[in-house]
Amino acid sequence: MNSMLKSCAICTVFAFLTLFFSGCTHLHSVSTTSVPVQRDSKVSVERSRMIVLALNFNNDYVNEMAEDLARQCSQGRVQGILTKHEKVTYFPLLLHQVRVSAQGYCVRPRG
Amino acid sequence: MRKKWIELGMVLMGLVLAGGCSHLHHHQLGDIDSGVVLQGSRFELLVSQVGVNIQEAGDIAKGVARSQQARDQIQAIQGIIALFQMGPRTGNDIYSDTFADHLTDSILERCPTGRISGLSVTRETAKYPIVSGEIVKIVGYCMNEKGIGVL
Repeated sequence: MNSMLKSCAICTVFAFLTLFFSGCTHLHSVSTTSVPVQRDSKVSVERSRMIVLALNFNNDYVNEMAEDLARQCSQGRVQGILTKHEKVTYFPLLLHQVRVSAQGYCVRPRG
Repeated sequence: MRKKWIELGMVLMGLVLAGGCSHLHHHQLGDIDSGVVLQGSRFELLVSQVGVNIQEAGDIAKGVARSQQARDQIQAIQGIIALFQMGPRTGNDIYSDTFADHLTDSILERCPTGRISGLSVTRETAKYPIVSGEIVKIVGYCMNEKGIGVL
């Protein structure tokens, strides 16, 4: 009887761990542009939105990402930009976060 | 009678919940020339196509169908359609796969000098009951030959 209870407890803990730690983050897309030779200065930007009950009425929060990267590299060009779009589920159907991040290299003119 | 009202209420709630929601599928940034992005003019291009969710349409039809036989027939039709729509996709089905092909020409129309930078491409769905707007949006920055925003 005791061993059965122990097995049940282990199963319950395993089920909880599976529920909380598996399949929470979904990678939707990744894209990159040509990577430059000069890669000593990294710039990055991240935008995200928490979405409750799948109610989201626009995606404008990603519109200013290019400007943000440009501000971090005002005297040059940002190249080798890796853009990543992912979704993090906190509570299925109730709450999730959509996150878009971009990182690249600031290439400044030499001389 | 009461069951009908509950069904109708559920359909209405579904419509409200599904109404006007926006879903982001993909966002991509191109290389950035900071001078153009910070001093140029921002432009935005948007093309879209109407998408149809046949599964949702079938579910609503089933909800209002009076007989079990009709519901079964709708279910069978949904199954057949689903067989032809397998595979990865973003958003609902559309009836033209060329609606975004002319975007590069449109970008040059908006910025004839060709000094364009900071292009970002967004693929999103504006979701309504049964139908949706399958959208491709491009945001970019343009400069004229004198180094001033042209738009």
